[in-house]
Amino acid sequence: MSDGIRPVGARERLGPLGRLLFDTEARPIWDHDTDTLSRPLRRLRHRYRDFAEVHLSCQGLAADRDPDFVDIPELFLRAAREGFGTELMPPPWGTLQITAVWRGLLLPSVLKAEELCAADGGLGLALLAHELGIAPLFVSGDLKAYFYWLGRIYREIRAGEPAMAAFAITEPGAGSDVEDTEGARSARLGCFYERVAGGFRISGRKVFITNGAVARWVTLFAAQKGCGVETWTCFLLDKSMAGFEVGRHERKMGQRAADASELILDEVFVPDDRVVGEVGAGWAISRNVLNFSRPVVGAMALGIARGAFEHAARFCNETRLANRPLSDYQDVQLTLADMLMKLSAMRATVWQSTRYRLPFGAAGAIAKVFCADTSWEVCRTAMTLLGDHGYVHSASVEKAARDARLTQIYEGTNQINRLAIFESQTGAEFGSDCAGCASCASCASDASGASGASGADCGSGGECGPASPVQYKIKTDRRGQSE
Amino acid sequence: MDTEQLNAMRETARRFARREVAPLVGTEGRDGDLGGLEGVLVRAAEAGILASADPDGAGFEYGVWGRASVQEGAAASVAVLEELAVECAGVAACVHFAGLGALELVGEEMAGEALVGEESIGGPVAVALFGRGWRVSWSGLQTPPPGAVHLGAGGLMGACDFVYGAPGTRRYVVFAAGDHGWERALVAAEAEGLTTASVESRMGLAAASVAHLQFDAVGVSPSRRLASASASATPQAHVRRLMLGLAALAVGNARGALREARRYAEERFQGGAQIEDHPAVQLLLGDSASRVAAASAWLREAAAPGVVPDAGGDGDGEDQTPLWRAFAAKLRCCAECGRAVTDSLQVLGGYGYMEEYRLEKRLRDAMTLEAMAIEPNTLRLLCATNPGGVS
Ligand SMILES: Cc1cc2nc3c(=O)[nH]c(=O)nc-3n(C[C@H](O)[C@H](O)[C@H](O)COP(=O)(O)OP(=O)(O)OC[C@H]3O[C@@H](n4cnc5c(N)ncnc54)[C@H](O)[C@@H]3O)c2cc1C
Repeated sequence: MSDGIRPVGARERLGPLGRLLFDTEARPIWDHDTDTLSRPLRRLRHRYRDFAEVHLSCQGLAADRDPDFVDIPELFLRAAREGFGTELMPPPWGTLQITAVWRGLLLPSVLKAEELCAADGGLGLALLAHELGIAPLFVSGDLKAYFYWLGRIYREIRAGEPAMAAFAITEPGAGSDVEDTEGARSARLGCFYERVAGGFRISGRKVFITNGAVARWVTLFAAQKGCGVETWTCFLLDKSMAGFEVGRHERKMGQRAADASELILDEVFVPDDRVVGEVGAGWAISRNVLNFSRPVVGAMALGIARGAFEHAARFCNETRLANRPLSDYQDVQLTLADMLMKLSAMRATVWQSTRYRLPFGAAGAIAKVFCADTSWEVCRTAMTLLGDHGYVHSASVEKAARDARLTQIYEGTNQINRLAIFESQTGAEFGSDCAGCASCASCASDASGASGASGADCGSGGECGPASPVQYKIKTDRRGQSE
Repeated sequence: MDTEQLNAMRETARRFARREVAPLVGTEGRDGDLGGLEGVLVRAAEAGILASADPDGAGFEYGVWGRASVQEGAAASVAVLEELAVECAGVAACVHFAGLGALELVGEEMAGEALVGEESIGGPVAVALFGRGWRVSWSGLQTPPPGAVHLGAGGLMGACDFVYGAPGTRRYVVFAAGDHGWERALVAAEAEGLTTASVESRMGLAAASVAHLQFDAVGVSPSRRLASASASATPQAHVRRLMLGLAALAVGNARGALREARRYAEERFQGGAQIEDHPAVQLLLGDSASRVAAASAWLREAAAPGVVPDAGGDGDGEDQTPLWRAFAAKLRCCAECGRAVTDSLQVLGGYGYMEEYRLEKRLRDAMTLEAMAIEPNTLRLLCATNPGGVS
C-alpha cells in the first residue's frame, strides 16, 4: 500500500507522458548538476573527481598531521600529467579546452576546485595556489608575460619539472590594506623596488604566501621606494635569484598540507623583462586577479563542505543508535537535508558567478563570502551531528571544519570582501549614480586622495604621482560619513 | 555560599590560572606544554581548586565539585571552571572531569584509594555513564536504557564510549544497569576484563584524556559497589554537573578569546587606523561580547546557588528544572560562545589562524565542547520536553 504513496510508487499510476515528466530516480545532486553542464565540462568534472579520489582523498589526513607526508611538487606533476595545471593556454602549449570555457572562463576552475577540496582542502589548496600564482601573467593582458613567461613555465611543466607558482601580495604590515581600496590609501608597505640599470632591485618581506616554500616562480608585488600602492608593480621572480629566500613556515589551523611561508627579499635584482604588465599597474592587476580567484575560493569552500557532508552522511548511515541507523532519526534527516540544501545554494552561487562575461568585484566577493560562511556552518553542523566522533581526527569532519575556516580569511577577510561588494556596486545598487569619473566633485577628491598613499615625499620627483590612481571609487568612508 | 565568598573563589581561581595555566599554554606547540600539565593539576589540588574525595584533601569541601557542591549548588564550581578556562579550556576540563569523579566517591570508604588486588593506587577518577549506542533521554537517565553497561552476577558487561578524565586516570566510577535500576561500581583501569582504548588525535581539549571502555565480565566485589541512594549520586545529578561544567568551559574560553581579540584590535593598524576603530571589527567584537554576556548570564542562572537544589530529580514527580536548565545551558552557551570565539579569531585576520596566537586553539576547544558529551540535536530534543515547567 505504502508503495503507492511514495513518489516512486505513485509515479507508476501515471500514463507514459506523466511518468516522463515526473523524475523520482534517487540520484546524487552531483549527478543532476553535472547533467546541466556541456559535454566537455561533464567529462572534465568526472575527471577532476576521479583524480581527487585517487590521489588526494587517501593522503589528506596524513598530510594534515604531517605536512611533509606528501611531496607536493610530485603531486603537482601527477596532476599536470592529467592536464590539470596548464589550463590557461590552449594546446600545444597548454591544456585549455576552448569548448569547456565557452560558457564561462572560470567554470572549469571552479569545478576543479570543488572536486579537489571535496577530497582534501589542504592538498587542494596546494594545487590550486599555483593557478593563483600564474594568474597575473594572464590577467595583466601583457602578451609578453602570457606567451613568453607563461609559455616557458608550461614548457617546464610539460618537461616534467615541478614549476609551481605562488602569488605574493601580503606583507607583515599590510594584509587587508593590499586587498581594499580604502586601506590601500594608507597602507604601510614594506616591500619596495628601486630602479637600477637593466632592471629593479627589490627588498622587503612577504608573509603567509601559499606554496611560498615549494614554488619555483613567484608573482610578487612591490611599490616604488617610499611610495604607496599606486606605484605597485607586479614582478615575476624565480627562486634562483640572488637575495631571494624563504623565511619561516607558519603553523596553521587547517589546510596544513599547503605551506604558508614568508618570503624575504634582500636587494634582489629583477631584470626589466620580468615586469608583468606596466610599471605601476600592479594594483589593477592584483585587484583583477582577486576578481578571478574569489569564485575559486568559493568553490574550494563548497568542496570542503561537501567533503564534510559526505563523511557525515556516511557516518549517519553506518552508525546505529538504540538499534536504528542514525539516518532513521528525523532530527538527523532534517539536519542532513539542511546541509545538502546549503551545498546546493553554494554551488548555484559559484556557478552563477562564472556565467558573467567577465568576473567582476561583486560577483567574486559574493561567491567567496557566501560560500566561506556557509561552508563553515556546514562543517560545524557535520561535527555536531557526529557528536563525540566529530572531534576525532580520523572521522575527517573536524579537519574539514579547520580547513573551511581559512576560506573566511584569505583572499581578503570576509569583512573586506563585503566592503568590496559594496564598492563594486556603488553607483549601481548603492550610493550615487556616478560609477567613477574625472569630473564630479566626489570622484575628483577620491582621485586626489589616492596618490602618494604614504603621504611622505618619496623622492621620486613625482614619478609615482598620479600615474595610476587607485581605481575603485567609494562615496562614503567606513564610518559611514561622506568624504 | 554568599556572593562575597563566590567572588573570592573566582579571584583565587583567576590568579591560579594566570600564574600556573597561562604559562603552560604559552605560544609553543599546538596545545602548549602538556608535559607540565600533571604538575599544574597537583598544584591545583594543593590549592584546593581540584576536588578530592579524601576528607583531608584541600579541595574536599570547596574544590571544583567538592562535597559542598551537593548542598550549596553548582555555582562555585562553575565559577572556578569558567576562570580556569579563560586561560585554557583543556586544563579546566581536566579539573572538571577529575572533580566529577572525586564527588562520586565522597562518603565512600575507599574514597582515597582503590585496589587492584591488594595494591593501593590513587590518582584521578573518571565517570563512565554513556553506554555505546545509547541516545540520552529523560527516561534513560531515570531507568537504564538498553545501551547501558550491565552489572549482574557475572560482573560488568558492555561498553562506554568517550569517557572523559584527567591525565593519569586509573579508576572509573561506572554507572550500570543493576537489579535496582542505575547502580554504580568502582573499577580500576587494570581490572581483568576491562579494555581501555585512549582516543588520541582530537580536535581540542587536548589536555584532557578521553577513552573507550569495554567491559567483559569485569568482577565487582560488594565493597566496590557504591551507595546508590543519595540524590547527588544519580545519572541526572552527574549529567547536570557535566553539562554545567562544559557550559562554564565554553564561557571562560570565549571570554579569553574576546580578551585576546580586543588586545589585538588595539594594536593592529590597517585601513589608516587601529583596527578597533573600524566598524567591521567593532561588529565582530560587539557581537562576541554580547554573546558571551548572554551565555554567562544564562550559565549563572542555571547554576545559581540556593535557587535550585543540586539534584537532577531522580524520581517520579521530582522537579527536573535544574537538569533542564543545565541542558539548555550546555546547548546555548556552547553555541553562542563558539560563535563568539570564531568572531574573535576573525578580528586577528590571518594571524588568528596561526597556532602561536592561540585563537585557533580556542576555536578548536570551542568546537569540541559543542560536539561532545550530548550533541546539540539531542540537547534540543531534551529541551523540547519540559519537565520543569519552564514556559
Ligand atoms: C593560510 C593563509 C594563506 C595565505 N595565502 C596567501 C597567498 O598565497 N598570497 C598572499 O599574498 N596572501 C596570502 N594570505 C594573506 C591573506 O590574504 C591575509 O591574511 C588577509 O588578507 C588578511 O590580512 P591580515 O591577515 O593581515 O589581517 P588584517 O588585515 O590585519 O585584518 C585584521 C582584521 O581587521 C579587519 N580590517 C582590516 N582592515 C580593515 C578595514 N580597512 N576596514 C574594516 N576592517 C578591516 C579585517 O577584516 C580583520 O578582521 C594568506 C593568509 C593565510 C592565513
